[in-house]
Amino acid sequence: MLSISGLTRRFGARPILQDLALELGAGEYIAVVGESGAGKSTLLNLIAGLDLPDAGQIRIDGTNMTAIDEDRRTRLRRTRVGFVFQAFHILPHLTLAQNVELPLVLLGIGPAERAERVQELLGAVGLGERGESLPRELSGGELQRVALARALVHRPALVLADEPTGNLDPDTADRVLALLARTIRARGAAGILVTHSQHAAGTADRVLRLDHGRLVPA
Amino acid sequence: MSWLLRHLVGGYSRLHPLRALVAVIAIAIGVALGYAVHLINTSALAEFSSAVRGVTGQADASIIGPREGFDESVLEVIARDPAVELASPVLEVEAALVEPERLRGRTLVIQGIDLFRAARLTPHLIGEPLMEGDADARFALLDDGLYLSPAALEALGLGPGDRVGVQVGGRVQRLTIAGRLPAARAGDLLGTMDIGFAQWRLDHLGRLSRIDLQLAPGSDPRRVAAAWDMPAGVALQSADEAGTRVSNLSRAYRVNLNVLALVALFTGAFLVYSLQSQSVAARRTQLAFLRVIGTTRAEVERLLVIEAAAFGVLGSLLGILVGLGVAAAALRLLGGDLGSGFFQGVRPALAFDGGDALLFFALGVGAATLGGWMPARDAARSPPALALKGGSGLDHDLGRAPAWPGLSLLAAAALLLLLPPIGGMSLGAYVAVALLLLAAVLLKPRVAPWLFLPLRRWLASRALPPQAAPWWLAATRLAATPRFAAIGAAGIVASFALMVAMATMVASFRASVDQWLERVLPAQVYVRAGPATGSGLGGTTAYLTAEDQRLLRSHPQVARVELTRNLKISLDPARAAVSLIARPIDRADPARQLPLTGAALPRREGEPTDLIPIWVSEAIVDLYGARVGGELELPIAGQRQRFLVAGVWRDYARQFGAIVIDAADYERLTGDTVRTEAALWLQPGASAAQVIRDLQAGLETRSAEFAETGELRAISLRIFDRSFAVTYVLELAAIVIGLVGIAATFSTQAIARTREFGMLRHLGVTRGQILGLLAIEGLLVTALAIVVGLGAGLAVAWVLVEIVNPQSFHWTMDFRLPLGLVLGLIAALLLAAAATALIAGRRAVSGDAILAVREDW
Repeated sequence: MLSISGLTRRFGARPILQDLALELGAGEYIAVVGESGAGKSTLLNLIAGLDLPDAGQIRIDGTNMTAIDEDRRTRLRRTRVGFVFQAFHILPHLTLAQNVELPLVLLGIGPAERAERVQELLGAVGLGERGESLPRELSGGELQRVALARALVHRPALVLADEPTGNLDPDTADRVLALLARTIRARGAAGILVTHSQHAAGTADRVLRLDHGRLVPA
Repeated sequence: MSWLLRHLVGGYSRLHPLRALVAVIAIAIGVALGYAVHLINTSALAEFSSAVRGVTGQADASIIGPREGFDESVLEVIARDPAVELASPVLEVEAALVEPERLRGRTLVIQGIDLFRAARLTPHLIGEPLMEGDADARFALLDDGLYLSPAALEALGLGPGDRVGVQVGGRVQRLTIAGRLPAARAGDLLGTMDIGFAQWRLDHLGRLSRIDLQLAPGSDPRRVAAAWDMPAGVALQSADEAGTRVSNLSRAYRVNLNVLALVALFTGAFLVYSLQSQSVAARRTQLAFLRVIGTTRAEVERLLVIEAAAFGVLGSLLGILVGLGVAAAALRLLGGDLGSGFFQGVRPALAFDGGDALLFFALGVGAATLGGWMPARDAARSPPALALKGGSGLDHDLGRAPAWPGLSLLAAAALLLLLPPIGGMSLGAYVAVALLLLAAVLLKPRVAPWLFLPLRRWLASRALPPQAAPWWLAATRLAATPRFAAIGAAGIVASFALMVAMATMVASFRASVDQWLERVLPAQVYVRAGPATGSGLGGTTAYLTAEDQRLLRSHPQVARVELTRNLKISLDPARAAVSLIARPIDRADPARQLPLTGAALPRREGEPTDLIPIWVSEAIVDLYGARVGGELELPIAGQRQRFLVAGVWRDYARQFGAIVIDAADYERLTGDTVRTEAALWLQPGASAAQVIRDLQAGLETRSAEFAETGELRAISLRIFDRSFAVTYVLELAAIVIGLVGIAATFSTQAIARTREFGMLRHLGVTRGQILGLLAIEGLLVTALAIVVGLGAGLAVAWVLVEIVNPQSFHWTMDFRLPLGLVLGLIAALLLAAAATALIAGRRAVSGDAILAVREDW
C-alpha cells in the first residue's frame, strides 16, 4: 500500500531523513517513535505529499507522490489519506456531523450516503447522539474522537496520526489510542502513528524508531 | 494603561500595519471629501456674498424692486425723509450684446449711476476715463460712454474707444468704451454709465432698479422705511440681508451636497467598526488574559476605544490636509460651482476657517470612535474563561445580535420623517436617513440566517461535484456565524444603500424632468429675445417688438405662435424673486398647457370677476402657503393685487417659484405688451431649420436666440446630468471605501484563518479551492450587504423623493426604480467584492500548510 525507498530530506546542510525505506501493507498499523527533531513530522509531511524529498520515492497504491504536481498530490491526499492532528483542528463553527461530513463533501458524495457514513463513524467513536452539537460543547478527548471519525469517514487507505494524544490526559489518551487502533484495523486501512510516547506506540502492530534519518526497529 | 496601550494596542498595529493603515485612510477619505465639499461651497458662498455686498458698497441699506425696475418717483419720496442722508439711484440691466459679432450671445450687467451720489456710497462704480485729446471721445463720456471693470474688459476683449452694440427692443444701441472701473472687485464683470443716459438709451425711462441709502446716524432702517409709501414689490433690504438672501438661495443644495459628502465618512465609520470587530475577535485570547490578570471591563473597553480614536485622529489630520488640497485644486480648476449653477462664473479664493477644520476633525474622530466603540463593548463583556478556551474568536460567532437597537432606530427614523423642514432644510429627513442606514447595519445579522440557512440546506441536500465543495464550506460557515458574516461588509451596506437611493432619486428625477419637458415644450421651435440672463441682476434690454411678433405670426410655415412675457417679482424680500409668466392660458383646460399636479379649479358660476386666476408652481405652495381655491397677493405694476389660485403645476426650472397668468389678464393689468419669448408650432411638413433661418434674417431683435425642441430637451438633460456629476463622484468614493472594507476584512481573515486553511489543505482542499472559498465568502457576504443595502436604499430613496426634494427644493417627482442600473451595480459590486476578497486572501494560500498547523508537527 505504501512503499518508500531512498527517501532523503535535508534542511539546509542538515540531513533529517537519509536514504529511508519503509513498506506498509493494507491493514498494517505501525508506530514511529523518536526524539524531538528526529524527523517524525517531516516523514509524515512527505508521505502526505505536503513536502517534497530531496531524493527518493514515495508510492501510495503504486502512485509516485514525488512525480506528480501539487494539485494531483492534493487530490490523492483527499481520497487516500486521513489525518489526525494533535490539536484536533475541528472547525468550531461547524457541528460535529458537519465536521465529519467535510471529507465526503470534498469527494462529491451525495447527501444520503454522507449522512449514513457520518452517523456510522460518529457511532463508532461513541458520539452517535452528538452530531448536532458544536465543538465548544465537547471535551478534548471527545474532540479527538471527532477528528478520528473525520479521518476515517472517507475510507482512506492510509491514516496518519501525529501525537494524537499529546493534548489529552493519560486515561483519555488510552481510550483514544485504543479506538484509533481498533477503527483503523476494522476498516482495513494502513496507519502510521507518530509519537514520542513508548506507551502510545505500544498500541501499534509494529514500532519503529527514527534514528539518524533512518527507520530501525525499536 | 499607557503601557498596555503602547505594547498591546500599538504592538498589534505594528504587527498588522495594513489594517491600521486601511482604517486611517478610510477616515481620511471621508473627512477629506466632506471637508473639501464644505470648503468649496463656503469659499464660493463667501465670494458670492461679498460680490453682492460689494454692489451696494458703503450703503446702510437699499431699496430693491422687481428685476424690471420700479418707478423713479420712489426716489422723491425717500429723498424727502430727513433720516435719509443720501439716496443714490441705480438702474441695473443685463444687456444682450450683439456687436461686435463675436460678442453675440453674451450679456453684460450695466449699472446706470448718479456719478455724484455714487461717488460717496459706491465709489468702486466710478469710472476712470482713458481717452484724452479726442473731442468725440470726450463727448462720448457724457452720452454713450460705458466704463468697464478690468475683468469685463479682458473677458470681452475690449479697450478704450471700442464700441459695443446692445440690443434694446428692436434696435441696436451702440455704446463707447470710455474707460475702466479701477476699484471694481477682481473678477466682477460689469459696466457703468450715467443713469440718465442709461434710462434713455436702454429704454428704461423713469425706471430704477435700486436706491442705495445712507441714513442719519442712529436711524433704524426698518422704522424709517415703514413711513414710506412704496409701490408693491418694492422693499428695503439691509446690507446683511442681501448676503443672507444669497446664502438662502443655495442653502438647500449646499446642505444636500455636504450630507452626501459625509456619507463617505459614515462608510468609513462602518469600516472602522468592521475592522475593529475582527481585530478584537482575533485578540480575544489576549483580551481575556488581560481580564484574568485583573484589568477591568471598563479598562479593556477604554483601551480599544482609544485605539479606534487614534485611527480617527490620524485619519482626520490627514483628511483635513487632503481636503484643503482637493478644495484648493477644485477652486482653481473648476471655480466654486460644483454643478448646481448657483456659483457659476465665481472664482473664489480658499476660505479657510479653523473652526470648520476643527469640526471636521471632530467628526472624523467621532466616526472612528463610534465605529470602534461597539466591538470594544462586546469584547469587554465577553466572559474571559470562554474566550481563553475558544482561542481566536474569529472562528466563533459573536452571539445572537439583539434586534431592539435596529428596530428602535427605525422607529426613531419614522418619527423624524414627520418633522417639518427646519430653516428650509429637511434636517429631520437627513437624520432619519442616517438612522435608517445604521438600523440596516444593526439588523443585518438578523437577516443573514434568512439568506445563508436556506442556501446551506439546499447545498447540503444535493450531491455536489467535488469542485463545488467551497460553496458548501462557505455557506455552512456563514450560516453558522451570521453576526460575523454581517460585520464583513458593513461599509458596503451604507455605500450601496446610498448608491441605490441616489440612483433611484436621480432616475425618478430625470424621468419626471423628461416627462415635464415633453409637457412644457409642446411646440417645435422656441425663440428668446436675448441670451439667458445668468446674473440674476437687472432685467433684460432685449424683447420681441410688435414688428417681430407680427413677423413670427405671418411666416407661412408657422401654424401657431404663443408669445410669453417672462419677468421676476418679489413676494418676500428675504427670498429669491419669483418668475411671473404671462402666456395665453385656456382656463377651460389649463392641464393641456401646464403639467398640473392635481385637478385645476374649474370656472364657477358667479365667480367674482375681480379675482383673476393664476396657476402656481409647487414652490409657491411650499414657500408662500398658496393653495388651490385660495387667494394670493402679488405685486404687479406697482400695485398689490389679489389673485385666485386656480391650479398647481410642476416646475423643475425655477426652484424658487413661478406663477403663470393668462397673457390677456396680464396685459389688462399692466398695459405691458412686451414679449420676451415665443413658441412656434409649424405647418405639417415644414422645416424647422428653414423657419429659423428665415426668422433670424428678418427679426428686428438681433439678439434673438432660436432652438428646436429636441435641442432644448437635450441641453436641459445635459445640464441635469452635469448637476449630478459631483454626486456620482461622492457615491463612488463611498463604494470604494466599502470595497476597501471587504479587502481589509478578508485580509484580516486570511491571517486569522491560516490554521483552518492549513487543516483544509491537509484534508485535500486545493489552493484553488481555498481561493474559491474566499471568493465565494466575499460574494455571499456582499450579497447579504446588497440585500440589506437594497432594502435600506429603497427606503432612503423614498425619503429623498417624497420628503427631502419637496421640502428642500419644492418639487415632487414620480418614484422610479432604475432596475437595469441597480442590477448592473449589483453585478459589478459582487464581482468586485469577490475579486477583492480573492486578492486580499492570496496570502491564505501562499503560506505553508505545514507551518499553518505547526503546533502539531
